Amino acid sequence: MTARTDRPNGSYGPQSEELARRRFAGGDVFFRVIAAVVTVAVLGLIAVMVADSVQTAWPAFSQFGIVGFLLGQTWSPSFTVYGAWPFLFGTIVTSAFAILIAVPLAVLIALLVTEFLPPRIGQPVAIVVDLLAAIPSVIWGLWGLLVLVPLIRPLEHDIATGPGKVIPFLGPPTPGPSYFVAGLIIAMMIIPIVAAVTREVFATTPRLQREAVLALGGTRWDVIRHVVIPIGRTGLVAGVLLGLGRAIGETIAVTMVIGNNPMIGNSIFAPGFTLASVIANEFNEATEPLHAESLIALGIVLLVLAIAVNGAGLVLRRRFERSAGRGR
Amino acid sequence: MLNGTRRFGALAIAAALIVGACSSAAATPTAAPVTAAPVVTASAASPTAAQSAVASTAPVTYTYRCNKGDNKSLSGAGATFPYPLYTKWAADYLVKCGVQVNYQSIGSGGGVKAFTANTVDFGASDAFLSDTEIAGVAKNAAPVEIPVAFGAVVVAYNLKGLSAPLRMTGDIIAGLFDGKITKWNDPAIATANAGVTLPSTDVSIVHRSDGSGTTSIFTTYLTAVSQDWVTTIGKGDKTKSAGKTVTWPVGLGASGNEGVTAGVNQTEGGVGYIELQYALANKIPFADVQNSTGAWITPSLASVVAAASLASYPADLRFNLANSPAATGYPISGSTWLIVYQDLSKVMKSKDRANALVDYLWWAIHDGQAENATLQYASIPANLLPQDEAAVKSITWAGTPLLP
Repeated sequence: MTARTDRPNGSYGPQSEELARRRFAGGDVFFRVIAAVVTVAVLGLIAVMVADSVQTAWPAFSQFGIVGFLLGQTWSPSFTVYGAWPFLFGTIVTSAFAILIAVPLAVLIALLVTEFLPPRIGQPVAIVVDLLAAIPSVIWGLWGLLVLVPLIRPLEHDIATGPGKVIPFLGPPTPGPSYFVAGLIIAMMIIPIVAAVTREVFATTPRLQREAVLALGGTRWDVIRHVVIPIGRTGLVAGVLLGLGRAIGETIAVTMVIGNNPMIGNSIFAPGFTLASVIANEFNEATEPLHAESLIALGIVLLVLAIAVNGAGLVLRRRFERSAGRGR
Repeated sequence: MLNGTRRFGALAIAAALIVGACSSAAATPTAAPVTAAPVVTASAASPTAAQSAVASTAPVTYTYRCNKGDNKSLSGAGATFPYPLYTKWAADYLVKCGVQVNYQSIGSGGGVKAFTANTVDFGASDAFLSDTEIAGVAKNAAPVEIPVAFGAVVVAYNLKGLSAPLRMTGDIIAGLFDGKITKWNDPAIATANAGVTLPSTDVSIVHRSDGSGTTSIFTTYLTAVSQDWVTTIGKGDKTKSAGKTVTWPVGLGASGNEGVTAGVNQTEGGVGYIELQYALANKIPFADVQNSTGAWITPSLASVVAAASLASYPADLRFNLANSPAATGYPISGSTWLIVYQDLSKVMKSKDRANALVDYLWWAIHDGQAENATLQYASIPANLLPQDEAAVKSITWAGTPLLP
């Protein structure tokens, strides 16, 4: 609708516009119907999926209570006791840790490519970082299990037996697979996503504002601090949330390096479990009905978590856009 | 330097995994000569084992009707443990009779689910159906359970500088996996291994994180031999201390034999349980285990065959081989079953298909058994074969036997 009013007057006469409208009217209606049907179908599919999952998982929620299930500390199929907390905890810890590592690195990469390297070198670097996103997660998992775990265990051991004695959550034992390694692997997997988005955002910084800072005698660092980062905040948040979305749902790579232990570790070097990885591990052999229902209930928790993250992201983004609109 | 060798080892495992996973057929020629030897030793060593070794190469020639069914295909789903064997059988049977047998290795639990939902022609499981599961399938028809192959679970460990395999009793294995034995120079291990210098390394447990028939065989054995295991793991309840998933008090969970192996190999002092075939194919050191007669048994195809040769079997063929009374039998052995409905007219639309299914089963318990040893599975012992035959013959179409 807006497109028509925006169209510059004079380029089409009233007659030719009428002709064009007639010619495309059929196509327009057809396109609208298709678009509407597809949209409704997709939304309907999601609704059916959620409704069906909730219905299937209901016995688990009603048995333990929603809060009781979420905060239940014990997950023991042989005793038919199911509590989601060890997995919720694992998902939050590994995702938060991954974001903590990935975001600064990704932002540095993006700044390096957009601000410091000449395009001749910057472009290939950007492509290589982007290609990291194309590595299948099972490959990350294999590499993590067979290479990263043995490589990093001495470091874990040194930290745990050194500073870990004083600092909480860094203590021994260090069996290898752990929240720590899982967080590292997820961080490596989301760096390209966050870096790609932030790079695009940084690259769109208006040239005038950069030059203004330089003209006032500012350094490159001043340009980054006062122009590139403030203008790019919105995109930065979007990138972080995209990364977080992937981190929360990452399954196979995490399963391979987290040690799959449904107990809450008292150290980041302890083995743990995440929502996604316990579903992948146990669903195949979950013959006891309540076991399968509890796993589906975990799936719903995962879904809600993912929606909450993305929802929060959208709200934040709105707020940033509004403040950007009012002028900084 | 150390890191370098470790990494190389890791790559070697990865390569072995890929080879193992992608081409069980390609691996067969190399495996064949290795297996031939133990079988021969077994025939010389014990008369019972000799009989069972004969079973696979029986001079009787069977004729097969080769019914092709309604669309020249059959489908099955279940246990991952016999997957390489069932795949080889399918390839052989396609050549022999022109019937395509599709087998999905989705796990024993999934197999029982698919069988109960009647979406497959046969189910496959590493554990016989429980009474509740039988009640669950009874709405379709009564099930027939046919044991068709046997395997073992070994205790694999990573300790440097040992010249001979460690010896373990059931109590030692239970102590390791329930967290009571935490050092390798524990007095219990030292007593069983007199003369061996044991390091004071920490024990690092790796167990399966995915539900598995391997876990079932292993924990069924521990439940049979160790009261301490039943108390610690099952809080005194034997049905909770054995199964495809148990509540582990210690250790790392890893997915699949390959995951457990990687976990064990990466940690000095690591110990886990894996399938015998996998350990043999990847040359992983494993322990000799004391059996019910007090003998120290090295896990091998021959000692599994010996363990499977029981004096008698229950009529419904639901038996487990944990802590087998056989003198030369390896105590952590288990069977794997094919599961079908007794009256196929209740679950199938086509009698032709029912005929194709019984023909395949009849072939599997006879000529099919020739593949077992090649792929490191023990075959049906001679004294069990008549009962397996009777089980296949008991399958009917509305009360009329399908096989003559």
